[in-house]
Amino acid sequence: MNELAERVKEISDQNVYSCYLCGNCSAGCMFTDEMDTLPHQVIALVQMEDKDALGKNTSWICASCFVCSVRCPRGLDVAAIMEALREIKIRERGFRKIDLRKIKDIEKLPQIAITAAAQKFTW
Amino acid sequence: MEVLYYPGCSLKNTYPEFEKSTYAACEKLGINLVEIPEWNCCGVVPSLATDNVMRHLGAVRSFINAQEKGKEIGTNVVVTLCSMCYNVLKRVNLILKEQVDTLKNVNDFIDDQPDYVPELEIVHFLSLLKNVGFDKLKERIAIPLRGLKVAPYYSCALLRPDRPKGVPIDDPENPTVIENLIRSIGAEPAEFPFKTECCGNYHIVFEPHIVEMRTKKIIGSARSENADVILSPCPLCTYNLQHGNETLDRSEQVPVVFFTQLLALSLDVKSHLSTEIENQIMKKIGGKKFV
Amino acid sequence: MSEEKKPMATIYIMGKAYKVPNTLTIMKAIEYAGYRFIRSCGCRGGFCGSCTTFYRVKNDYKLYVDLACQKRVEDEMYIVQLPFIPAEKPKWDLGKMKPTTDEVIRIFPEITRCLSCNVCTEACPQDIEVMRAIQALRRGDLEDTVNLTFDCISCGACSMRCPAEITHYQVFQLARGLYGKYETIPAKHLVERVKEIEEGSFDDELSKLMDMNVEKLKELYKKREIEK
Repeated sequence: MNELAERVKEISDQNVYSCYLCGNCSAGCMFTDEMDTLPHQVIALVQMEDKDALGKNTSWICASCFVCSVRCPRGLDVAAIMEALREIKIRERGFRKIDLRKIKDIEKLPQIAITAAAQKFTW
Repeated sequence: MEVLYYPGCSLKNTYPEFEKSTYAACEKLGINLVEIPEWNCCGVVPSLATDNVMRHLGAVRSFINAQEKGKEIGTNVVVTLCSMCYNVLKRVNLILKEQVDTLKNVNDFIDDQPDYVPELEIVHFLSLLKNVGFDKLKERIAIPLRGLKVAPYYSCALLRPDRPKGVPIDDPENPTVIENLIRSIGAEPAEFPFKTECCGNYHIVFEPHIVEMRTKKIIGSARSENADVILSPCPLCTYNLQHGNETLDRSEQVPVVFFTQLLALSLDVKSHLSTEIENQIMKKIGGKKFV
Repeated sequence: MSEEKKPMATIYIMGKAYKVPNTLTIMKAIEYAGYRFIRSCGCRGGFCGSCTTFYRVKNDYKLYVDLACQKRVEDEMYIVQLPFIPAEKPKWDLGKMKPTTDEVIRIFPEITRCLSCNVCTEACPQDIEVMRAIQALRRGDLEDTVNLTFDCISCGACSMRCPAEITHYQVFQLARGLYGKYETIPAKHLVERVKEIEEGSFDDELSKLMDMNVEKLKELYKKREIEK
């Protein structure tokens, strides 16, 4: 297992090598219009230990809706793999994906939305 | 029936009508919701990282308080209204039931409270109603909402993921529980293909255009089925759908209400709906305006 | 009585060992060792929150926090003082806000990162249930937060340990400000007195005092009426 796949397994407990790139996850994903790379393509990058996988916006556009995990024929929790890719970046020293003090229209947003974004994108 | 109740931040801050209409309905149905004392924020989105036990702490502290209160009143059932709270609490509870190491880790860390013994049952209010029985529920309805077409929106949190087993309250691809509720209160469910689609979740904060893209499709689908109202079980989805409504023309908008509000309306108790929406509904079913 | 008869403790100030009587507080012990405080020192009475001090004790891996003016030294104590707790205070205008927990969270959105880890409560030298007070804001209960944090002296120990980077004492200041302005009954005599001042009832007396010379002022002060 390559180092990147190892790290993904440590965080998400998912073995990316189970994936045979059927594309079911990408077909079911409702957010692919915004992604520069499809979910199953990102998994292929991890399988090939291509660190570019961490630079794609796929894991950040992911909304954790779990359609991919429900439809994966190999039983992979694809959403958890996306979380692992996010966590690898979030846990890096000095990495800041969001700034909670700079939320636009914060007067209108409900607490639940701010909490969800805060818990997802920070350590 | 007496059960423990976990409200979640939305019901106490942004959407009190969700909770108030539920209390009103429960009084009519003979369900006593006992709020868990000193509950902590669940975190809204469960951590999918298996090494991030710290993120479960809010839920575990709430479980411990529920456990202790439950001993007093003799129940181990915790009911939630917010579907995101349901998702987090259900998943954390399942993890603690299955992973002995994680349970020990968390109990060791929380040294200022008694240990949690994973015997609580986390239940969403819709499942509670299903257990009561929709036909029994139908008998208690005072004002059947005949003539109202309702689009059932499920939210991801109630249906997914399906592994570990136990999270979905119904079939993840083709659920029917909300349609059954709609029928029992006398209304007609709309055949609504976008009922299990994601609203965009937390993207409303930093990438609202993603939410607008998703919710426009969902509302458009409900509109094309001539739905009068969309039923929602989740505060975040409700906010996102209302945000989506604001980007559409008046004629394309479909009002979004919480499922307990329509339930309360049909039981002839306070639904805490806005006057405008209540009048719209009453007009549709040919009823008089409520005071 | 000679110094050796008093029971002593070894403490380490900035890494250097000193023997001090073990009945002294950390603050007194640092001064006993010959240091002079020009920072991290204020009321010396456990009220101003200036002297937040971190320390460890030998053979104990835990990190402790306490107020230097209140905590007695222990043998083999390693002391570190922070000159102040750094924090960024956002601007708020109480007059333009409503007394709700939502408003507090809008000014301090990082509260939503709270993990319920409880290190804040462990750090508090005033025995305040800090986590409980923050979670009360999540529960929509402003009054609870206000009641729980009455004893807060803004020492900042909680903020230094918090993984979610919350500055709890600032949050509580805002909560109490909102509650005090909108929810508590205003003291009638205060409202009346402020009105009197604004109407100029004390202007003459004040200008007399302003024009007086220092010697006359001192005399007036010595002869003032004191309630017994």
